[in-house]
Amino acid sequence: MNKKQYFRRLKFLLRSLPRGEREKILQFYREILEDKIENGIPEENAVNELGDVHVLAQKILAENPVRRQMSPGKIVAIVLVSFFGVVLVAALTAAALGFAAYTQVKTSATASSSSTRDGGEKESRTYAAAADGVLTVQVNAENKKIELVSTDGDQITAQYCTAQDQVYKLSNQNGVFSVANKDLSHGSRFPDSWINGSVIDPADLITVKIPKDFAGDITVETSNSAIAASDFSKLGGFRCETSNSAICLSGISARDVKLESSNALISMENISTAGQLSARTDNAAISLERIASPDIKLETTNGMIRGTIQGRENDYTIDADTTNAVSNLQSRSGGEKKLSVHTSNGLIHIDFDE
Amino acid sequence: MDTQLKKGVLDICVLAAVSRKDSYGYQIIRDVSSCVTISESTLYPILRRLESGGFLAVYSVAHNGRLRKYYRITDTGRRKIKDFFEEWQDLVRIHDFICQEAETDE
Repeated sequence: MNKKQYFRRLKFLLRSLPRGEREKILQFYREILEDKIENGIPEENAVNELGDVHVLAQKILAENPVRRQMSPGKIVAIVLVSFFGVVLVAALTAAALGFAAYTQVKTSATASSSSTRDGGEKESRTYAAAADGVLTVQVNAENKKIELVSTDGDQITAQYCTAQDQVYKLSNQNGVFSVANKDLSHGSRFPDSWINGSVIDPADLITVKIPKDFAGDITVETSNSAIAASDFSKLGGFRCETSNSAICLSGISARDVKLESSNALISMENISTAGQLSARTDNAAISLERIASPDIKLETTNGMIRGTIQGRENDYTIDADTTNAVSNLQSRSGGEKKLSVHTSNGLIHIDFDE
Repeated sequence: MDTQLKKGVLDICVLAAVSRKDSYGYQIIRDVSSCVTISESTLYPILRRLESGGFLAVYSVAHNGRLRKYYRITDTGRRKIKDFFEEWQDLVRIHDFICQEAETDE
């Protein structure tokens, strides 16, 4: 079992724990694993040293405590963690800007070479297929920023950049356009933007261009890197999952939307869904601007949730709570639509535009 | 070693491991392991207990493009180590008593 499989399994086995607690536990073990790998222990051995995943999960579940009152030390820690969250978001925003400049230069090229920071050669590649017949676009990457860009054309195109320690697998069969990437660098090549702050290495990025009116499903999974998408008018199910990085969406209309991250912001602007719209992160804010959905679920910890929802407050049955901070929402029943907002140590401020 | 006894002592070992310099999970395991075996799954609840008891403060530092949690001992934590040394004197007396009684039994 590699580390990704191990942690996916562990996460699943710990699903009964409160999300915040579970993330903390996973981060703890992940950190030690990465440190071991960094110290030259092969990934497989480092994973084995953690022991059987079921045994570990059982041990964790057995000692999992009930939620406790905050100690002053914990509050200090939270403030520090939140601060780093803000720094990360700032770095990612800068990275996104850096990337925008990069794509403008490169749009006409289909393949070009440049040298990597480690001196190896890398090459940008394009994989395209007719959108007609594609029911699902699936991206499954490691440590890659994912950008979903809408186009007026009728093709789906994936742009990526090969590098020595990166494996890509692209396919289009049985209605599934799939982009898969494995990062074999064992974490030694985390996104540059994390280190030098502004410029994202093209090898840390996958861009998928999809027709604006694509009506199928989109599923994006990555790690330690942001996901950005904008301008899709009639998507089916839209699912995004990453870690330690932001998810930024704008101008999207979909059947339903599900977003999950950790330690970073989720930002939504002009999003509407016919079904559920759910967003979940940790230690960071959720920001919304003009979202419309009959079933909205927003969840974070140690961060604020704020923004505007289209419609009238009275249309919603509201379930809202925070701790150690204020909320402008009153929980209420009787509305046809559902709104659930939960955070801790963070403000809730949601306005309705009618 | 008896698990109950070990459990109490391990908390102090972890405090001691961060007392000279702030430290992080893997480093604590390596430092403590030089005298007594400690696994990740043993360390986690100890750190959480010490943190929620106010004996340790936690902060994150970016390291190689990821976050690493560092633990810093608080004044309360230092006091706990001191208390341990005082309690240890009691333990020594208990030890002496056990030796003495065990001898007379034979």
